[in-house]
Amino acid sequence: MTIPTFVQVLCEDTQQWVFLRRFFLKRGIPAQKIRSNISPSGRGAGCKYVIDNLPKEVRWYRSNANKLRCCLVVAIDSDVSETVQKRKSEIEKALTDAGESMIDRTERVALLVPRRNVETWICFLLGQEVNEEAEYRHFEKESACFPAVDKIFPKCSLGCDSLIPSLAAGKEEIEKLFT
Amino acid sequence: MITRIRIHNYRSLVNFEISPKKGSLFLGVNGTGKSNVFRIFRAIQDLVCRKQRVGEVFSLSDCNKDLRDLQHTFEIDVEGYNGKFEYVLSVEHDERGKKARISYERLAHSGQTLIEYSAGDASLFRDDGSRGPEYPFDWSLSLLGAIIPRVENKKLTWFQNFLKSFLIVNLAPTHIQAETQKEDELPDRFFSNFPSWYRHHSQDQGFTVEVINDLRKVLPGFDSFRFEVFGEETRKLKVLWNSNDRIVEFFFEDLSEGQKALIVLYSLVIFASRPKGNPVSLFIDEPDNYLSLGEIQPWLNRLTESADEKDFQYFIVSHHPEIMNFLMAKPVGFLFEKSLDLVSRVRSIGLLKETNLPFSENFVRGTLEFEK
Repeated sequence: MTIPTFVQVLCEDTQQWVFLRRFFLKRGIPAQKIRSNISPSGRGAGCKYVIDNLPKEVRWYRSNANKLRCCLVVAIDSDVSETVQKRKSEIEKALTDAGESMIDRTERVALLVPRRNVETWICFLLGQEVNEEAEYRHFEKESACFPAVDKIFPKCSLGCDSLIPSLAAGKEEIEKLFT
Repeated sequence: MITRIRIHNYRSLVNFEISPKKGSLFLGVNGTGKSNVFRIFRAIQDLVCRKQRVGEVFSLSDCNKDLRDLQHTFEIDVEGYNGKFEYVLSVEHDERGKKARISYERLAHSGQTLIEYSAGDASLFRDDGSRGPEYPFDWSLSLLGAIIPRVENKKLTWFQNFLKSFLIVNLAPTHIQAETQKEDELPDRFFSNFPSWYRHHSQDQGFTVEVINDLRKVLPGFDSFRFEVFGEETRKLKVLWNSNDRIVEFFFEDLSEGQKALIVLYSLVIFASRPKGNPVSLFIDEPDNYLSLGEIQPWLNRLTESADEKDFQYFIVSHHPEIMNFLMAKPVGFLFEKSLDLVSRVRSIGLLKETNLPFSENFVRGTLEFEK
């Protein structure tokens, strides 16, 4: 297993960021080497911000991947009306329009598309029965996700079949970063 | 937690009122009054907790220059002790600026008065609401600061300790020397007494362990601290550094300004997140001043996550784009502006209208627009 030396996270909101930062700290990445690009707060605009900013973040990754052993993590909620596949298509279109090629399996770029949002993953990891169509309310404290992150390893070690589909897909994406 | 602040006629703050949340960023161009909020909190702390006389803390020049009013008023609401505290303080000057006196002071909890001072007379009340003693009181001192903790006034004691737990810092690492003559419970304005403050709080082993662990992660080579003894009272704070597998010792003042700032800022956050009887409130004026660009976001993460998890409140004044963009991902702050009449105007920063630009760029270009 190799550990990235720098993790750039492009995400929609601070709950996603707190969750992902905690995860990478647990994986041994120093705090100074995990950096966020979070959407400026705006109702419903987080998804657009991530898609708009994706090409330049991918360009940064590609021009530095060899010298830095950096990686890029993109988190975008699927929301209820969109499927994970539809979000991925939007991402691909944004890259094509910007003249960037599709993300390759060998690239250390993880596309995380929680369905319906990261709160669904947190509730699942905390042991609740969840439905990826249902909306789970925002937590009063974002740090409420810490115990959930602590359970990622035991939960994910049981294999993808025991996970909700969007988290199973996310697990595979994250594994790319450590190979 | 402070839920409301009202300040009237203190420098540029006239009829100024905000309702802060757990975290607040004060934004605005230079001279719009952001630091005046910190300044009056320090004045109140000096008056109540350090028991200074009102004339040492407030002067006539603190009155707004355009307002022909010689009285400052300060009010805060605080959630705590299973209810809401309301504290009011009014300070009056004579026309020549020779004398300042407290004209009114009151502390109440959930509507029930705990102390009241007006026109030279003090009235005390017990926690159960019953009337306590009434007596003439010195107008140059805070009545709240003069009351000794007793079993029948636990609410008032809680509030005194709450004010004492304000850590108000305008960090100037150049002023921090290694030498300490005594222990200090509170930081001074520029935190030049950091070694004395650390000396006092290092009695809490959990605190020192946590500080050392954090600093080992953020300062490559940092190992630990040590106080070198010089005579009976004097100590000098030394920093032990790991260099090629051998330990090198430096006096604190020999560190770079940035290294000192990092040590102080992480120590403050860790101190605020340690379990205590009273919650801590952090007030930090431009924490970014001495940090390299890559250090700001990790420290902010440590601050915001600790405040969220451990329930303490923080106020930050900053102009730095890194801080703006990070904290404004979840709008937590107030925008200060000043009109030609030398009065600060403040508005709560809300959800930003859809934009492709970072918050800081919109701020600089004057195109900040919030959702209604």
